Amino acid sequence: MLLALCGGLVHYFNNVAPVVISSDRRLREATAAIMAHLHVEDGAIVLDTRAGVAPPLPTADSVLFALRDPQGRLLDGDARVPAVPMPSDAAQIVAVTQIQHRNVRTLTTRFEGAGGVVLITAADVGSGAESGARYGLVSTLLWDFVQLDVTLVLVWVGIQLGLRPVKRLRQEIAARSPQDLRPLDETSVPREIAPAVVTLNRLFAALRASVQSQQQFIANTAHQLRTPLTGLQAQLDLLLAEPSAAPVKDRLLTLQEGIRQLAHSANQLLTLARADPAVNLAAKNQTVALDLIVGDVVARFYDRALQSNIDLGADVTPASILADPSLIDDLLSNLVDNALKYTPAGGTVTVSAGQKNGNAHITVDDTGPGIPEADRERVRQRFVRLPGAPGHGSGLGLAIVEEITRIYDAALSIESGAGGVGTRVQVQFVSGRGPDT
Amino acid sequence: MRLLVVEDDDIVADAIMRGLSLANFAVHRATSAEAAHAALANEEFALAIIDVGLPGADGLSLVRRLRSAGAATPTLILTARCTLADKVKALDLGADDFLSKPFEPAELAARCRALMRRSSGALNGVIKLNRLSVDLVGKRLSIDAAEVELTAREWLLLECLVRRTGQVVSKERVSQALATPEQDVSPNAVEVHVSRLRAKLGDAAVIRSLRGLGYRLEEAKDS
Repeated sequence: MLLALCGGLVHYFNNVAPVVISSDRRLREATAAIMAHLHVEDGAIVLDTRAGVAPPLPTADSVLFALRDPQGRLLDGDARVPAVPMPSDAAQIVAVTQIQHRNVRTLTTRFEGAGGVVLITAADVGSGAESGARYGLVSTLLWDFVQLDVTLVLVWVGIQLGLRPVKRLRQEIAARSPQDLRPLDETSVPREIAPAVVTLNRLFAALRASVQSQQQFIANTAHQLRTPLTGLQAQLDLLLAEPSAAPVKDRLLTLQEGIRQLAHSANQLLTLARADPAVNLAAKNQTVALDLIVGDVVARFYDRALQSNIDLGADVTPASILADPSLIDDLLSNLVDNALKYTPAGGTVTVSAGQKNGNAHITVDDTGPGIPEADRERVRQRFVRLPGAPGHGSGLGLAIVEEITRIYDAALSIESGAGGVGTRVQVQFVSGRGPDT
Repeated sequence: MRLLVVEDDDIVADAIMRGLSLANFAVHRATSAEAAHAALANEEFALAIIDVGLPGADGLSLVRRLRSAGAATPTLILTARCTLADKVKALDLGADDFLSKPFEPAELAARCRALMRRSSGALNGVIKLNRLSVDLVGKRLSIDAAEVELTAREWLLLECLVRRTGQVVSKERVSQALATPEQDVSPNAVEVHVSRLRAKLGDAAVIRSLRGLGYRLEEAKDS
């Protein structure tokens, strides 16, 4: 808009203004000539039309003129030139009036002499250039306007087209799951944003390397910790079975329990490290059948439940999610481990899996003492164990579960069991939010 | 036949060998994949217990080498890493079983027995389970050398469970095993067959019902 206005001004000064200036000069010269022909006769101002007075009167093909008294009555000249209303204090006025349906520029001059006042109106009919120039100005302005609009549309389309790869890139990054650290395609992006993509890829690579080194560290630590613990535990088990160990059996059992705790803590800490969402950034997910995982875990814990005289069972219908199966196994193992730990002999622990409201879930119900409502948030934290908790847990079980649910945007809820007895822990996997493979 | 233990850690290896000797197995130890390979070339072993974390070539590469050479020796993989992915990888490479560290010596001995039972069952068709002897070819069951009469369905049930001794067999799998082209078997009917077979086995073996999952055959504990 502003550009169009500026363009109009430039046009005005280039084309219209010279025309106006030359027209004004013509009118001024004509007026001066007319003035030279005026003289007073019988106390009135009259026009001397005789030839020979210099300069000559303007010819009708270039300038028409009329002499009028201040009341507008025609004294002399061409009646076609209309009276131009003139303020009493003005000496000269420029106006555009219509003569024979043409826009004509006029100059009206107040002339005061001994014979009184006359108004000389000179009309520039010769050129018509001004109206042409003005017409030209309007059409040029219109044309400029159209041109500008077309240019703007073209520029907009151009920018949209140019930004398309950027948009595509943005969508590609936005559509990625946080786990996806694959490099972006550097070949299909325009040169302008290629450096940004290269930088991003470098960042992805650095992140991948860091995740890998963390995973490697955890794996190495697992090996370094577990191997000697295995040796110790197995040696102690064998020693306990020997008749010669009978006199120190109690002390060996204490030792064995200590090593068992150490092994458990080491395991839990390693699992917690492995369940860190940051460690799972580049994880490859696969379809995990929850019903099968439940079967595996329940079968693994079955002997322990048998020893504790707890009825451990399953209640599953087919349901699957996209995840790392080891982590889902860890999640469920910790839930079942907790349930068995807190459920007294003669109790029941039931692990269920299935679909509810379109979401896959894993649920563990026990008939233990339950978790007071006030503590249900606190128990999710690391190393938090409720007073009166049996055994020597590490307080990491639910923290591990919480970490794993964070990786998969799952919801962990802790409630009272059916009929207010025991605890129901449920993990709901929101469908459609599972990380992509 | 002896068992081969491939484990580089002395304390662990010593515990494994002592535990297996107590269970009356003769054991040979190798400390690396290369040494194990040499031993396997010289002698036929009933079973190879292989640790994944070996110096040099790891345990999984040894399993791969064994299988690609066509060796049928059953293999049990030991690992300090216990992710499911590792387990799946080991089994995919041709390992027969997988045990995570730490483990109890009794558990290791039980797994070894189960593996050898499976391979001998495949070899001569007879699975010995403590007091039970199941002749898969002759379709005969004997307890303490006395033959036990079984109905056709009871035999199908026993066969289905005994091939996976110690493992949970899902109810669906049992139903499929008992079904004939003419007749499906309902879960209730399965339960009836199971309790009849239980009665016939007496205290020689236990069939556990895992609520919501299936059944598991266990050999009676040594007296």
